[in-house]
Amino acid sequence: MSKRSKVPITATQRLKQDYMRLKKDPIPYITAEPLPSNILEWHYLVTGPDDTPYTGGFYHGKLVFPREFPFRPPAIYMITPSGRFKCNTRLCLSISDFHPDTWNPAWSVGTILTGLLSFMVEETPTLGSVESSDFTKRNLAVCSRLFNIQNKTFCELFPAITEKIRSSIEIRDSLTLRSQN
Amino acid sequence: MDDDEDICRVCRSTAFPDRPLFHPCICTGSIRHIHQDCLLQWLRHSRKEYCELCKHKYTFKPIYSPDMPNRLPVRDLLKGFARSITSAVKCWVHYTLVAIAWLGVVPLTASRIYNCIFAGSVKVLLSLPMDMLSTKNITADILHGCVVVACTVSAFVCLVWLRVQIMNGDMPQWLMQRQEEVEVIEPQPHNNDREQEVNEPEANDGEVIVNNNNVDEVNVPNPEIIHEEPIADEVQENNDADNINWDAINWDRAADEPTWERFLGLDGSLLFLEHVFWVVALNTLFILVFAFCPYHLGHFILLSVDLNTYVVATRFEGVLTTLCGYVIVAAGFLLAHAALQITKLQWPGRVFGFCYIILKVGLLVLVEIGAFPLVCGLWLDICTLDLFDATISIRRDGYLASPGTCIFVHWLVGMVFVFYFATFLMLLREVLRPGALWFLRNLNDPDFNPIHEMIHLPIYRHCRRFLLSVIIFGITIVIIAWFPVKLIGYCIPNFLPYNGSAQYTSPVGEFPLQLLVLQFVLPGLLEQGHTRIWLKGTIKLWSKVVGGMLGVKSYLLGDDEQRVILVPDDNNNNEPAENAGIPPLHAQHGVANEWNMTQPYTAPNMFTARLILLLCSVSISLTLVSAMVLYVPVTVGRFVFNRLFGVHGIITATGDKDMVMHELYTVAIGLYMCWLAVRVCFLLSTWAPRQWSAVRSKVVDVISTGVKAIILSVFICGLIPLMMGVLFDLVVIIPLRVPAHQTPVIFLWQDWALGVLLFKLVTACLIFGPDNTIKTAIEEAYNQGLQRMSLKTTLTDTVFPVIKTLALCLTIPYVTGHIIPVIFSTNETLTAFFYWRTYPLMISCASFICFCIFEIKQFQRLCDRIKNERYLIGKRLIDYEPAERRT
Repeated sequence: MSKRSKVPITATQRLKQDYMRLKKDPIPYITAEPLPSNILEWHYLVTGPDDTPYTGGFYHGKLVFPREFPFRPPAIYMITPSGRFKCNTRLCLSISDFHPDTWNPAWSVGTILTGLLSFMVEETPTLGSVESSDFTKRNLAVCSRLFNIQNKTFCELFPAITEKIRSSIEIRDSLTLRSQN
Repeated sequence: MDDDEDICRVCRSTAFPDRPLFHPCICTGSIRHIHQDCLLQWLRHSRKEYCELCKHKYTFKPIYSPDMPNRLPVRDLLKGFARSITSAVKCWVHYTLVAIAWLGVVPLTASRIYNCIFAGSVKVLLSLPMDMLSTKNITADILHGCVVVACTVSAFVCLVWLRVQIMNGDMPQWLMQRQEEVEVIEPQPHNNDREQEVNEPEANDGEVIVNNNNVDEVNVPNPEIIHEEPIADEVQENNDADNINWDAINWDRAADEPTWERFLGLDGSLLFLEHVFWVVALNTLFILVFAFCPYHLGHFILLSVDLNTYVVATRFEGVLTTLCGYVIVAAGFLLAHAALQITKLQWPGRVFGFCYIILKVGLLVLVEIGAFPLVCGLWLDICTLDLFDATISIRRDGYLASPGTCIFVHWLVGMVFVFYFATFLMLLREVLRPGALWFLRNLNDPDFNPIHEMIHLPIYRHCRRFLLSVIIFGITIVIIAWFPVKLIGYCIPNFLPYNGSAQYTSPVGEFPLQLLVLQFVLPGLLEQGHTRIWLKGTIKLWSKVVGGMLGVKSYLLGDDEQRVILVPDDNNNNEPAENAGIPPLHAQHGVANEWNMTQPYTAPNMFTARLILLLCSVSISLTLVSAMVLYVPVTVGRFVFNRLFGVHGIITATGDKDMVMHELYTVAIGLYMCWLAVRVCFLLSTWAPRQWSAVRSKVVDVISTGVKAIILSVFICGLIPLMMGVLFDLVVIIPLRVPAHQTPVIFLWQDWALGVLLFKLVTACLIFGPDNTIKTAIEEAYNQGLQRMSLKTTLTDTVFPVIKTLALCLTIPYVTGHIIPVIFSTNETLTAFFYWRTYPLMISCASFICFCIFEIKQFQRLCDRIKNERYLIGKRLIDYEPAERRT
């Protein structure tokens, strides 16, 4: 309850509205869930779009919203190694808290994540980005499944996907086992 | 989809009965609507007044409480009035206080303390508090104090800078005996220089903390630096104050965004009084340490060696004695350093060595910047005595009459000479073969760091260098000044001297010639781009011809046929410079960077003899060129003046001395003529090889541009200034100078000249002032340039409106002034009065009306403010309505 009283009513309401909107009109490739304990921290999951080196990868990251949320931009982190961004580093985008001057309160969680995804499939460098070859990116995309299901928060927030990944990995393991046998 | 329900773009919730949705900007769709409180909150955060997407400015309508009276009660009005007056007075008092503190108290105390200290008696010292408050010669003392404060502040800044420089790895070898001790002194540069801190390895910080107890010892010899650092480091931020415990308090205070405004007290706080105190203390300390002690030391020394009378005879007793004291102190420091070094007392020894370096650098800078140009200027003056018909004794009398001015003028002349000489050398370097000028320092060299050399090189090297420079410059001056003057005097005996006094009379007397020169001639001459190219071409041609004749073309310009290979001159084995017995200075320049590269050349036989011949021809050419420069423009100028105004440039034997022009004008006019001639020749020479049609189109181009320029200049340089000048004359000068019953005469030339000045002033004000239409028009015209400028738009947009306004200003009072006497049929005196006094009267009326309007507006704003303060209960967003729907 104390946490609730600290977070201003606007931010909470606004994030709730965003959440409901996101549930109602899902955005392709993107899922996002707030932490049950703290609505200001959201975890997102971006599925690598087809025709990109990220195909088949699951990219898990988090958005940390300030308490003045719709008036100030959130911090954007990516947790899964992608070959595009550094892990667990604040990313410098025009929609992230590096640039409060270009922020616009009309932007929602959905718009932020769409922006992040479109920036991710580009090659433009920024603070917090890394350069790597397509090969590395594909490799990392494959590895991202295993990486993500080792993250506890990920498993808690995205149980359906965790389950899917687990089963697919089991199938693969059994397949490899069988082929080895 | 609930798209049919409007939501707020910020909080995403719908309209509530108490929070309706507005659509204040052009944006439509899902971001069309917004709550007023959400918007206000966002505007508070973003500090904007417009929509960041459509850039539409939000507008609000004030809502007043229903009990607001239609007219404000007088009591409220008076109260508001009183309040704004109080705040204005408060502000005024504060700024006055600031001004008095910085411009009055600080210089005054500095000057009084200075005088008191140098009076040197106990009685004066005791009466110092009384002296401080006395009002005797307050202005003179303040001016004097300003100089003192400027000296101390600049000395302080230089000290800090030099210290950083030395600490910044520039410590000479003999001072760096033990590595770790160097780093102990490091904490201060840390705070002075952020960049340096970035460059330094982290390990140093550790060292500093470990050796913290030593820091106090290090800084004992120069405590003034410790005290004043927070003042100097205005831009210092989040420093690592914990490094230096005794500084922690100061640093903390300095850390909360110190700015100049805060320091000077312009931000409204009274904290600046403390800074004033610090500055006064710093001044006193500096006067004591850097002026008083060296002066008295020098004084005693001079007395003891019996040189005092000579020093007094130079009229610069104070400066010379102090300098002498400094030299003694420097020697003392050096000795102390050596002695302590021998006795293995590392610490104090290093401190003395450090002080010695600082003194050495200071003295060397003084010699390089002060003494050297002075010597050059004096020598130049001596060499050109004939030119101005002066003798040594006249100069000596001048010196005795006003020593300060004399020294300053000579120094300035020397400085200008040195500057132009250096520029010329740089130009020479661009033309000649790299390495041909090995004996001169390359000022463009990125490694050339005079301060670094001053710190490192021993004193005798500097002395040698100084002597060499003096010799080189002296010989050059003899070649380019003394020889030509003698030559001219010998060949054209009637030509010299130049006239240094202005004694022109009638036909030109009315003509404001100084103005003409300053406004039109000099700017044209200062256009340097072409001059530089011509000069380079001439030098190249000269070296080709002379080099070809003497067979040293390869030495001067390098071998064109070969591929140019840049070789550092140390590796350059086939260079015959060593064989030719060229001085060993050469070896110093063997730094292998690209600036000191030399290009190989082939040496012909008898190389030394050829070089000597080359030097001779250089001097002869320089003499001839200089003689030409001294002779040609003046002759042309005198000729022009003679033809135009019948003024003689030469004091003829017939004695019409009053018809003589100041030589400045003849030189200027002559130079201008020569420049024009050369320019025309140059243009013709570029056109010569082309075809006739190309030349014709070019000529047409030039002529059209010229016509455009002439039309524009008729308006801009002729008509507008004339109108302005006449108006100014009528409005200001005539009422002041001509009594009412007399008829004034308008001198159009003078008015025009006055108008040119006014016009320049007004244009400058317009350009530096706030934006307006005329400013943008001027800027646009300027950017377009003369060739692409559209004459019509410039005239209609800029020139004609201005002329219209001015013409109205001129004619309306004239007409009124002539109509009134006709209507009222007054007597003659009154008629004349009306004729000439209508201008100031009407202008003052107009300005009075403007003032009234301004005041009324101010008053209305005050009323609005009072109304807002008392009765405003809220604001209401105004919805955006597209224009067509609104109509």
